[in-house]
Amino acid sequence: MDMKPVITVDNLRTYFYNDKRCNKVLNGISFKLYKGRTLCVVGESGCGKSVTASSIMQLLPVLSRIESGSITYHGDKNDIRIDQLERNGKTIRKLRGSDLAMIFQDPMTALNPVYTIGWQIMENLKYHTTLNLKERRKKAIELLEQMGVSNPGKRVDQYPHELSGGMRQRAMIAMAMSCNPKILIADEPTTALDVTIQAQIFELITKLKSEHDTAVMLITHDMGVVSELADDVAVMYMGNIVEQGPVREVLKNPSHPYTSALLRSIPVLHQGASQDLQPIRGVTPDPFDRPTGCQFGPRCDFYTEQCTQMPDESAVDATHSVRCWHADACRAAQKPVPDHAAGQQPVVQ
Amino acid sequence: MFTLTRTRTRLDRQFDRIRDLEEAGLNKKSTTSRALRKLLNNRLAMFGLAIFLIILLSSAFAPLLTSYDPLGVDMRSILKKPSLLHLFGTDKLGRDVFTRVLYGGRISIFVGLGSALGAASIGVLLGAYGGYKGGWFDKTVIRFSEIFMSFPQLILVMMLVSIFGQGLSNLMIIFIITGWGSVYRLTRARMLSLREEEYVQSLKSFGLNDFIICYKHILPNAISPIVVNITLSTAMFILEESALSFLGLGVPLEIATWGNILNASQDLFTLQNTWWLWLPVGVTISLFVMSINFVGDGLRDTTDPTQQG
Amino acid sequence: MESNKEVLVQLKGVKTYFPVRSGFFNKVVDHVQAVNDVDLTIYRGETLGLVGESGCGKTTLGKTIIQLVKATDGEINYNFGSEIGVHDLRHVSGEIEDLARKRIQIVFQDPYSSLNPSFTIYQSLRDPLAKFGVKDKEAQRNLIGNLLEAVNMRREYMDRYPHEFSGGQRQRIGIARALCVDPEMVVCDEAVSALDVSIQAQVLNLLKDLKRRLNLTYIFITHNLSVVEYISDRIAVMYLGRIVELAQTSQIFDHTMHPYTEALLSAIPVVDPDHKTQRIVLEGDVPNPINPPSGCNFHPRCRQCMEICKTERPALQKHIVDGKEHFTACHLYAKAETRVE
Repeated sequence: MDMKPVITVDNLRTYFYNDKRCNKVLNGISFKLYKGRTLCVVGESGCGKSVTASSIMQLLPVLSRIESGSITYHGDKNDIRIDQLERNGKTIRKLRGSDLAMIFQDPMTALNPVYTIGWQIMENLKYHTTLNLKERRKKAIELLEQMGVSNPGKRVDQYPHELSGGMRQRAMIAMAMSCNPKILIADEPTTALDVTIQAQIFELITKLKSEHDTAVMLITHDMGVVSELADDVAVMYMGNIVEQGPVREVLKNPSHPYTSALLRSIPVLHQGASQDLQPIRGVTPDPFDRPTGCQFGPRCDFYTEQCTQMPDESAVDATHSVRCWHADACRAAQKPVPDHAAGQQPVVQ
Repeated sequence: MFTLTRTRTRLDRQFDRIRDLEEAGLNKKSTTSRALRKLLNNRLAMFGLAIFLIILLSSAFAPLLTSYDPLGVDMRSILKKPSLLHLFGTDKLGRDVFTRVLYGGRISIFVGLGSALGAASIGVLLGAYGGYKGGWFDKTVIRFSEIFMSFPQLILVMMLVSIFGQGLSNLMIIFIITGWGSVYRLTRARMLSLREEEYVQSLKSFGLNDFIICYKHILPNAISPIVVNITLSTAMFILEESALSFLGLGVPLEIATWGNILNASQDLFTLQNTWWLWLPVGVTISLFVMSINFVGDGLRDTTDPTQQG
Repeated sequence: MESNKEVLVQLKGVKTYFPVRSGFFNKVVDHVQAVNDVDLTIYRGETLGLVGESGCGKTTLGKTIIQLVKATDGEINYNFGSEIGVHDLRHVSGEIEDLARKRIQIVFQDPYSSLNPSFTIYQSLRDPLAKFGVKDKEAQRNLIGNLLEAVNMRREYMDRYPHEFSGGQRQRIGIARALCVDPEMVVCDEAVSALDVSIQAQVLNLLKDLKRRLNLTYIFITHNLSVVEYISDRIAVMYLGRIVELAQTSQIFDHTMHPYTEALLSAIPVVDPDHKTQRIVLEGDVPNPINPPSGCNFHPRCRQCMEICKTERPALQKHIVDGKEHFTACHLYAKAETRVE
């Protein structure tokens, strides 16, 4: 495992300016992406996970900007400060597609309906490689085949509406992987897909990761996806990363009250109707009317006066960090995590 | 590690101002509707609204602003230049042009607004139900509207004028007949998308009457583009009235309307020598129509989320 | 056991086909077979979960029962009680139709389009209440206030507009609306799918609570198996317009019979990093409901496909597993007897 990061995000702040109001969507987040490892960024709506991806790709909307902090891409030759680049300038456009790639949630709207998928894949190759037309077409068909699209020679000339949801998503992944990017950012890639298709896509992403050593940043709200796919996980709430670390660590030993509350509020398969589902009390605060200090404070069981000050990131151990004054109390109060192995039928082979 | 510093733009400075205000706690969540706030902030729309109100109120309160009679012939003061006595001068029959413009405004605005509202009423009535229900009613009405919209308006006007004679109400009837089609299509299109909303399905699950669902519950959500359309149609009809009166097909010539005033200025002599006969009224028409367009555009922009507002 | 419970709705051979038009004259060239020959019994007081993936017809079936979509064929027999008796919902009119609308209600998926943005909550609920007998303004406001409190919201909220509420709150208002006519049965069409996971728990617990207090029957439509396991008594698994498996919840999970249900269960990611599911990954995509495969709809993707599966459609047959009724439509378990229902 390569321990040199490909992307370092340090104390990133991104603010949105709509309606003459300032919304501090990202309020100082720091994390690293490593080659060959998947980081799952998980959180509910409004936490800022999609904005994190947009910030890294410099695809933020017009009425917003990166306020402070840094996003550094550690390329082969040198390090590039992405946050300092001109939006849509030459440098970032060179990086996008060849070093940084992104796949989106809704494959129907993410692909251009008036061009064939082959054309769209070849366009990416045209801009970032020196292959000629015939070579590009051959590579596009190769890519579609690698992604598990049946009959790629025929599919390459088809339009997005002629393909099913799962196939469109594969086409989008083919487009993203066409230039072997170092980093793949996937923004809820399977939320719009059926669960059986989701399983296929996950297999695909895992295969790609191991074959090309890509660093994958997967954004999701589904803890099950995190559990199955992630190597590392970062839990976000209202613009802060409240806990991050290796997935096994975080799920077995949640040290932030939000993480453990979230885990307790999700119905667990095979636990049946008698499980004690505990919704998190309260509601997510209005982004324009935030609590002072720790954002989870008003909903937290461990709240004290100290929480009116934003906690610093403290280390639980070498790889696991948390942003909470009461992380120890939270860990100690853990009810035994529902045992997922019990009650499950033996799987049919 | 090399760093490129990003150049700061005007947008950046705006952002800095907003951020500092926000941090000082001075940005309160405002209680007025966002649409209203956006409209008030739109300088062009506010300017348009001001001009519109000035002209409208001047016409409405014409007797207060001028003591002359718009039909009052005074053969002793023919073609007098603008002066303190006659602000816009006098025309070929000695009538005060300023007075005629003011009184003319009443009719022109009445025709414009009246036609727009009339066309909108019919268009909304038919479009809402047609769009909601579909079926043979919708199919029939849409064919109907296509027939009306494809009729060349001038031919229709000439036909009706030759049969029924000139007159204000005839003009308005013609405008409504040829104009309802566009509002109809607009409303119908909105209805087609709104009827799929889940609250509509919920009303259907209660078994509520189709008319109540369509006109009472769904229509209020479709209204805003229709209001924009009404403002812009008003401007269009005023111009059309002017054009038709100018051609002699509208309101009888003695009655002052903006178009009739222009009518009297058709020859080269008037154009070159007695500019006050056509310039003030032309400018008034242009200003009025432009101001309505500004307000209409402003209303349309209030629904645009990408603009800073 | 099921035999002691009162039957509330009985579906027989229900088909809902949507015509596909093509060509210059808009001729009907084919049909989307959204719901294809469904037999189902729903008992009073139970929560029946309808699960399946997109295109399986679960939402269409729910809407067909409540008559928002017209069935093309079949019977939907509703038990109105001893006085009025059992009537086919497809052929009722007048007073009985109004009664049907009162007895069966629906909660929708999207909290953002399920409420009229131009009306306050009170204004939205006024007309349905007036239609069903509550015409006096005071009485209306009183009733709406009680409903809001029943879904854990404040009475004053009835004068607010939908955009002032969060997604979870709007969903609760949607539930209050469904309850405003005092229904017996509520169809929950993906009622929690569009909500954040932590809010889903709130709404699920609320639904469970209301069912207990008001003696409701639920048809709970969802694609999320963990949620359906939590809330349902029985589960019906649908694939391409047909029911492939129907049994009590615990039976579905502990004694899965149909290969599709198996694959579905194994595809769900489990929140336990130590547990790596032996996933049964299905080949190919969900086929088109316009042209379903011959024989068993599932045969092109089934790992255990036999020769007979390609030609003959398996009927939904009753089996007794673990002493309980368990229906499945699969040749692996086919018995000589014909369809039982």
